[in-house]
Amino acid sequence: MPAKLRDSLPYWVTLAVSAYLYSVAMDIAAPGTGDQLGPDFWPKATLILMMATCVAGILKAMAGSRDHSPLPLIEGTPAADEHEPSQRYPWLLLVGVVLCLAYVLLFETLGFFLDTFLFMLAFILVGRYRRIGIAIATCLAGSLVFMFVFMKIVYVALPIGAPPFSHVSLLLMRLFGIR
Amino acid sequence: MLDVLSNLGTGFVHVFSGYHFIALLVGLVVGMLVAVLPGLTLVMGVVLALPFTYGMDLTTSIILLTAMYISGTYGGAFTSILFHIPGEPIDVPLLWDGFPMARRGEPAKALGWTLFAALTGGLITCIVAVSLAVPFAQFALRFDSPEYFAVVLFGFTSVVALGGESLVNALISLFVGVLLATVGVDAVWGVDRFTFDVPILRDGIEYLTVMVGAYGVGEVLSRLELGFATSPLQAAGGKIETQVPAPRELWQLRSTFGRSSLVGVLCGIVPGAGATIASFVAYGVESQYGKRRKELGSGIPEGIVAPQVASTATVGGHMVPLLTLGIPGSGATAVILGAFLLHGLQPGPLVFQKESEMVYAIFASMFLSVIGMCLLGFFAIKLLIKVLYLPESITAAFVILFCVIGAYSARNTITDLWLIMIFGVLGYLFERFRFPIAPMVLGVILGPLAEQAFMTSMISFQNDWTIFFTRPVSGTVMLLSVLALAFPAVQQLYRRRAARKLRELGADADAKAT
Repeated sequence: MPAKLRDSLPYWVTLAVSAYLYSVAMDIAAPGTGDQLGPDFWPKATLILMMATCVAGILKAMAGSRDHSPLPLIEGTPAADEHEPSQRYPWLLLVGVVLCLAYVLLFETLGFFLDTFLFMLAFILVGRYRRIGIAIATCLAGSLVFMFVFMKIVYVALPIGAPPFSHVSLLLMRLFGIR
Repeated sequence: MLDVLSNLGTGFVHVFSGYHFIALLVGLVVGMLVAVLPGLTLVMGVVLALPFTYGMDLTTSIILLTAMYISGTYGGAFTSILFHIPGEPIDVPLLWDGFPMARRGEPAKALGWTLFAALTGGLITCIVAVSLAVPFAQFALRFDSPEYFAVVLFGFTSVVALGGESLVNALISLFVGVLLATVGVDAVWGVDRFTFDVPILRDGIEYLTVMVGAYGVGEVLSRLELGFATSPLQAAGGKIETQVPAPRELWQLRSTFGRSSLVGVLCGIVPGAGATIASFVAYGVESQYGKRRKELGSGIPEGIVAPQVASTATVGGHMVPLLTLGIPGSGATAVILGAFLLHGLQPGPLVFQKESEMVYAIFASMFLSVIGMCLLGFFAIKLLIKVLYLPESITAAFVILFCVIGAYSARNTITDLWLIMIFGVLGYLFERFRFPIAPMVLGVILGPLAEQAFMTSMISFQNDWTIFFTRPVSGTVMLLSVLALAFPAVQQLYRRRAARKLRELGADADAKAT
């Protein structure tokens, strides 16, 4: 992909989303507003400003003016973020995102304890930590402490899961004296 | 003045009673740990602590978060000086003189200068906050909706102008935030906006969800993409201890202390110009006006004192607009505002009349936090710094856990968990494509206030938009907003001219050499 097009891509996407949202905002009903500004005014105004800014961003990117190189905040000082990272791992990121989504997806089915324990363990391993014993102990301790603190002390009704997984949560709740 | 001192005295009594003092100690330790760990930012730490405050009373929770905030501005100095790892962006300038001094075999002295700088900056900022708050609040009592709109707009523009590398990206980030704040049922007309027939969206998108997702999950995803590759530890010297500078040495640096405190306080009061900017600007000012400006970067105390004094001195400046106007000037104060709102209290000028005990307890806790963090830094840093040996993937897994539980505790709905994941991915994309997150967060928080003030002004003044410019206070603030927006353009122009001048000088030198 040409560099200029790649630089302008985020602005094109934002512009398209803004245009869609503007079409949604057109349907915001404003009964009997008379001379007054209706509930659609503020989102529409924001979207118009956003679209105008996107156009500015596109023009700037197409003109090849990249103003996002790290610059020092003041003359005489180095920039805060001078170095681009040498290596990126997009697959690691993808697996991480999938794990996070799976964590939420199974939150109510597995219950807080089991779901959290499994997620943390998987995430730590994906993060390239290889001492399995320490990882298991940490995840177990973390899940139990959080369950105890939030269910027993802060009184948050964390999900216990669906059967048969709920039996694990119920057993732990009995052990901790959580009602 | 006597009233203020008497109220402050009562505030100290409050801090030492009940759970307040325990909250203060916990806040100091956790804030320092968060600042020491490179994978956790100060704002993220304060965000993650928020769910733990649900069960506390308001004063205790604000004391906890404020203590975290204050000690977080100091903790990262240790890793910068000893290991060349800036725990926070605010600690980057400390690398330039702190680390060379430590490598020269004087790590204890470097830490001593940092300690004294944090103490001075912290105490000055507390004094400024206490003395400015009441006059500020009394002035703010005269504000009507146009003034409120102008002040919020100024907050927006200064965050946009100072918070990012690209004005366009910062503006888009701000508009995304303002737009997110419109989701739900409109408060005036009772009409659905962007709810897409999802029932939970009718309640709106909690800014807590946006903050937790973008700062917490987003940051973890960004670091995961880099393979959690934090630099290996290289201690600069075997012993970790602090050596307090002699009074004579301190006196020699009085101008640096004065200049940097002023920079810190001013950057604190201006919304958006947080501790990071203060720390860089103070170093820059020192490099232009300091007595030993030519030696900066070689490991001299001025290079340590200037950024540390300024970053700690921003805290009080930030607390003044937060308490008196309900306008947060930074990510951390936005979270503290969130804690206020979660407990059903909107900060503003009336808080000083209705909840003065709480306000002065917060001020007193700030004084104690500054002293406490220095004592903690002096006596306990050897122990605290051991968290650096914690593998980053374990820290990251716990951050996600904090985010999930924080979002779930607010409304007990799974939709909020989906939302934090969505905002997490959005936060990652923002970071990847260099869109700053802070404007979006402030947009979500202040968006409703801006809309309400704007709409009320339009109703009260028959849609006459010139009202924002014709009233003295709002007109002045609107002018400041325009100047704030023009600032990046002027700055860019100045840099281009400086670069051209430098190129010309280089060409001249080359010509002479040949």
